[in-house]
Amino acid sequence: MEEINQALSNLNLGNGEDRISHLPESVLTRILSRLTNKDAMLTSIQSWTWRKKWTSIFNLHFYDGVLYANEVTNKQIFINFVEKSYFPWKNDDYEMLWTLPPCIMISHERVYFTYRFGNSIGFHLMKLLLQNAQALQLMSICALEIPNSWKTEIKSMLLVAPRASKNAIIEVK
Amino acid sequence: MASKGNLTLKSCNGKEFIVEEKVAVMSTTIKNMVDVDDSFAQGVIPIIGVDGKILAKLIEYCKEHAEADEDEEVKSEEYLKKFDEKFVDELNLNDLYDLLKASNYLEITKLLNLLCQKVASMIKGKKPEEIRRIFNIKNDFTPEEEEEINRQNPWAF
Repeated sequence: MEEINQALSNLNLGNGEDRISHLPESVLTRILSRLTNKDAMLTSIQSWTWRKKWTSIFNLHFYDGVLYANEVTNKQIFINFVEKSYFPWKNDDYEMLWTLPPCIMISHERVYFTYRFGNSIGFHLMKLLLQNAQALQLMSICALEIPNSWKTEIKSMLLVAPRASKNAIIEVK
Repeated sequence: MASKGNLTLKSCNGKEFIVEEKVAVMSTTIKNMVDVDDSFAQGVIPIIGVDGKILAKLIEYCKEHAEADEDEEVKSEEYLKKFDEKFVDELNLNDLYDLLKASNYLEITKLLNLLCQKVASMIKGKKPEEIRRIFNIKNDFTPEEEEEINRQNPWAF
């Protein structure tokens, strides 16, 4: 706390306005991308406005600093990370999910998958979601602008998630 | 009117600054303006939404970096690093926001990254209520919602 007080006095806070929440989105993305994923995710519990701000970050680290660079060796790390960080609940109530992976939006019974990365992160995340479809009570899945190469595998995965596939929307880029 | 090789920048509150072109074009936005329209190079370039105080700060930063780009011997990497540190340390929160917005609009990428790093370092490792306090973010969750968040995010605390 002392550190905070020090930071506060150094900053000469002036009028006490919340200006950070109103910075341009691209600036906030730059700021949040400079944090560890955990710190970035933590900002989602500041206030309603901040709930989804962190989902725009353009760097996804695994175990703080282990980058998803090599598909084979890091795949398991990634999956562990996702399971540990994103699916700690695995119960029926995932409506109020506060910590979301950057490429997924969950609202009520829908999981929106947004492909934002030029690599395979999103693909593995999506696979993971589908594999856990039963446990997550996944009702529908909407994948827009996915690379063509993913399509076959996603379709075959949907077969094991009959409930989700019933309402699936898969669109290739 | 600026002499050859110089540009005149005008803040939103009417303050004019004559700066060397190499300093001004550290801003990609200004560089594009000058490249596209020659009249900007001769006349006055209005810097919309940036007041004199902030514009002076921007120029101070760009000047150091433009000079360093030109002559590494006079202004070494070490020197620049120290300059950058001092530059961000002296800013109050309002100036920090103004500079963030201005460097974003003017596309002074180096400075924008420096300022973003500063804000990130203020967030790093802090608890949500500490971050709220530093940045005056209003906690608009109901107590029930907050309880639910804490329940769902045990790892965060």
